[in-house]
Amino acid sequence: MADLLIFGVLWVVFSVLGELGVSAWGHNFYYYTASTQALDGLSASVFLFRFLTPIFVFVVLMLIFIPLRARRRSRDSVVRGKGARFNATYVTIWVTLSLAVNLLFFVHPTTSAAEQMFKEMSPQAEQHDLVVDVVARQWQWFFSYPQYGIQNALNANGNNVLYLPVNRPVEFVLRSYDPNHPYAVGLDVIHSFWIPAFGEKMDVIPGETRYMVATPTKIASTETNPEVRVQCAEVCGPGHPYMYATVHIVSDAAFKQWVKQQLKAGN
Amino acid sequence: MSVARIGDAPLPLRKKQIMPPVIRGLLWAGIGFLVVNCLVAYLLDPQYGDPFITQPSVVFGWIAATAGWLLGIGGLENVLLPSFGITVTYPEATGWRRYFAYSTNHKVIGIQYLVSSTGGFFIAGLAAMLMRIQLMGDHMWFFPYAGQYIETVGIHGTIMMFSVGTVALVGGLGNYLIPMMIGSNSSAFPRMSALSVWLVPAGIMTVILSPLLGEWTTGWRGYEPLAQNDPNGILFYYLGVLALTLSSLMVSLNLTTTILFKRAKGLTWNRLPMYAWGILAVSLLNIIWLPEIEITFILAVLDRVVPLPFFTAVGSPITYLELFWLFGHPEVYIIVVPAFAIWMEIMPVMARKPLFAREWGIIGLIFVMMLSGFVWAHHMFTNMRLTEMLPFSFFTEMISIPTGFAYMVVIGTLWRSRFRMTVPSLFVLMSMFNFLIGGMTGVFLADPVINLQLHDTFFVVAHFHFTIIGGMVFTWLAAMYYWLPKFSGRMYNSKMGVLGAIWVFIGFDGAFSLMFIQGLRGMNRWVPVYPPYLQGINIVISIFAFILGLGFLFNLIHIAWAMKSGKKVQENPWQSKTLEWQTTSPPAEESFAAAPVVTGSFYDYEDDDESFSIPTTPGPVSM
Amino acid sequence: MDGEDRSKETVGSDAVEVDWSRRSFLIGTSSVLAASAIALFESSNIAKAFSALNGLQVDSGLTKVYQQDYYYIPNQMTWRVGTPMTLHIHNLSPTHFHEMQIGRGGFQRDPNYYTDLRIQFNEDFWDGVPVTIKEEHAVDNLVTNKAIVTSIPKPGPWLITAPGNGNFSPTLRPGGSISLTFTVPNKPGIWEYGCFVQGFIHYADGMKGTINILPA
Repeated sequence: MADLLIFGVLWVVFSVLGELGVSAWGHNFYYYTASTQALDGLSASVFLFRFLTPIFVFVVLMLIFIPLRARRRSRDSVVRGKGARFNATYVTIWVTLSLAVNLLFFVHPTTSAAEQMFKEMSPQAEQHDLVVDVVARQWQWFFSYPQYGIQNALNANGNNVLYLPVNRPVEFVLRSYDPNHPYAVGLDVIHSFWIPAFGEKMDVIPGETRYMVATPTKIASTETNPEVRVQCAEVCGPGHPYMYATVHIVSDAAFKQWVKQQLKAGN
Repeated sequence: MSVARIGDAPLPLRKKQIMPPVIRGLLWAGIGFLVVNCLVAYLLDPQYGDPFITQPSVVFGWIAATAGWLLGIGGLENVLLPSFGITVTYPEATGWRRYFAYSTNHKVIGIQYLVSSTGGFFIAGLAAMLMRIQLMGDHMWFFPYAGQYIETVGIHGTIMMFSVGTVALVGGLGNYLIPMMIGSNSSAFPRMSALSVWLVPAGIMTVILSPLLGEWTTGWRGYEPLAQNDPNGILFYYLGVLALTLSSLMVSLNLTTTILFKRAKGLTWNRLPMYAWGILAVSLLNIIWLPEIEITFILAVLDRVVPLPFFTAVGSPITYLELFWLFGHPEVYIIVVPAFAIWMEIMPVMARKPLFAREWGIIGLIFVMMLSGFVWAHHMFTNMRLTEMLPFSFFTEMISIPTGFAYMVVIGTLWRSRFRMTVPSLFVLMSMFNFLIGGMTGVFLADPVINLQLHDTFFVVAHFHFTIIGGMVFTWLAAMYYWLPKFSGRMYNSKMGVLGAIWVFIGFDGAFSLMFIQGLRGMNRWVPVYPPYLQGINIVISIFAFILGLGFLFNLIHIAWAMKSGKKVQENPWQSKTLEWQTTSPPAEESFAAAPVVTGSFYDYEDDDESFSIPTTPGPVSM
Repeated sequence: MDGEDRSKETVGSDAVEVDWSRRSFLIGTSSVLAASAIALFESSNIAKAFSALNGLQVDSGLTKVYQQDYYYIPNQMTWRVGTPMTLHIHNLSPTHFHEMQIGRGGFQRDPNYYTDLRIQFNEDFWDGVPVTIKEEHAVDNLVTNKAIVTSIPKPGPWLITAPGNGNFSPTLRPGGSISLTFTVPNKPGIWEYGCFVQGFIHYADGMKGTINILPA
């Protein structure tokens, strides 16, 4: 009984400390969030952290506490331990709780957050989105803006660049082929379109069209925070590490300005 | 180690000089490769420019080389000729030589598997060290080319998964211990087993030498359609993994049959040791899923050699991904299920207490085995239809329940026990701690919305290293220390063992817990160059990784030293009740002079009942 | 069970013990391991040593260069000023297109965000050199830059003569080939060749070679 009491006190104390830690630092789980999708993922993560902390503390404490309490005094004689080979209460609580916690996690945050994502990706929700056609080839990203007539967005150095207005939902249309060598289907491989600050990525698959939706929430750029960059996340050959592009999230006015400049440059 | 039976007069043995079987195998492999390769490359299918190596020639050459290797090592006299009815005298070697030759003794085979696995572990570990050296800088500075780095990642993963993860605890410890644990003197198919073990070095060498055919950059998964787009080295990936998985498949057929049909009298299913349950569960996984991935790899080889368009960009690359992960997730449980079983094997002995809720432990193993076939697509949240996400997410979260039963059983066993803190129990506790972190981070990855951010980052790298190194490698070390007196009759040095445990624990947890942070900060996988802001933590991770590498080396040296010249101990130093400890240590050629009869549970440390009886036991059984 | 019985039988009844030389076992296995390690890590150095042993073999007439993923065969050549040559470039890769630029004098670089990629050579070997295209097959494009190009096969849209498209470079589709006939111009010294296609990654991954052009 004393063991149980000591253990219970320790468990409560460390769990509270853990929860305080989650409150203090949990929001740093996603280092930098620049889209509503990233914020959704972050709040789901923090919820999981809250629930997992006492479970983690319980098991780790057991793994440390029991061996310390139960250490044999004499190492030579074979002393037989006491204790049940079955304890219905303990097993029932364990099985019920693990089932309950997992069902809870499945309902929230898994299903609730997924439903939110499905809703954002529904055709109704996408009517006023900015559409960006993204083409991935070995080892380069191309961005075009069909609503504005921009064929291939480039920066002053001639590198591919992605400009997005803040607070406007964007629908990325993802395709994998080589626009310079369309005959070379042997070059088409799977890439993965990832902007770390947006908290999501989607694979780009040859022969298929995939979609990703994001709503940028902060004015930022690759120069101000390197997590705001397009990075290929799926290995795609020796050029995979070099397959990235710069991103600029700008104000609405600055975006219109940029569109004009791109059209003037004939991109 | 010579086979002198009690009662036999020591006969003067006639020595027969032969070529070392390993050398003969290598020679025949080389001849087989050259002959068949040249035949295909120059006569049957000559290609433009008359290259010495073409894709078809290297595939057929490899098949001939593997056949030559297996025949040369002793398959000719022991398997091929007898199956045509020709009996040839092929005496077994003795002493250290028998470990480098064809042998039907399950203990020799077990050691052969363990040595191959250890070799693979340190070769792949060296590859990891090279990767960590490169990652200390944010630009190419150690490897000349990015492709070479990515290929090193692939070789590291492939060898670790297929020659260590799936082999060490099953082919190695399983072959050595399972027949003894169920009271048998041999496994069910000793000749198949004797050959299958030699596929492991062949597979490891194939994967290591794959760069000679060109840099493949797909990682350990051989992802299509990149594999069709890569240089020819990928062929040796497919073929090497084919050899390694074939070996594991044969082990599983052998051990399943052994457990089903060779149990001692009285060893009912209710009394079957936990490790045998674990091996049974993992063998069923192997028998279900390994043929599936082997067929997939054969299709992928045909894609390149014929060529066919199954998995190319104009075929269906996603099909390959599905087929790979359909095997790939059970693979993870192939690796950790035996580890769970070893926790439940070692802990009651150390706790001097009956195994708590044994049935629940078994239910856990079996349900993990079954559920593992329902979760594969959680590796594909970034490329599946939205409608498929939730079912796979559901099963992925549910699989943590049977996994948790292993924790419930061990914690229940430890509660109010007389626990002995030995090196094996320390390693088991560390393994449980690390696997717990792997499992907890898995909850985040099982959530599709969070997964879309974490997938393909170092968070995932950290997660699966916590499950595999944390779950399997730490348990492997626990098992090596636990059964070391069984293998050698000698004991490790406690202080060195504790030092070794703490050493790898610090190195491992330091390196891989920082990788979680690295992944969250936007470090993606398979990159030798990365944005400069990630460099600081990468240097720290590398330093911990070097500590970890040296720690493994330290443990290897310590175990090898203890086996050779550790302190001699009594036959059953842990006072364990399982059958393998009731033989002499190290066990004689025939483990049991007379077949044991089991009369009770192996995990009763409460009462004084003997759980077995061994009629006419030659050696002392200390209880 | 069958095998188990047989092995027992052979050991017991014949009382023969096999023996083999420890020395040949150790030497044999370690030399195979050493050969593997050398093949893996030192093959390029050994190839260099061998080609050095062969001495200078000056190419003339028909010279073949094969392209693979991602390397050239050969990756070292020696030419002599004033030699008439036919350079036959053949892309053996089943999947990738490749090119062959020849140049020196450092590289133009891509001022990209966190890596520094080489785009092309500063000095183009083909500047002002008269070149005749003798035959072509599956050429994706041939940028002529400042070379004086005549083509025996009827030039298609693949022949790009407009300036501003980079150095002289024939880009071949998988399986493609081209033959270029020219006389080695008076530009002695060490030249490099390389393939910069697919976002300059082929060069970054080692697709390069050197030409030593000897004075006449």
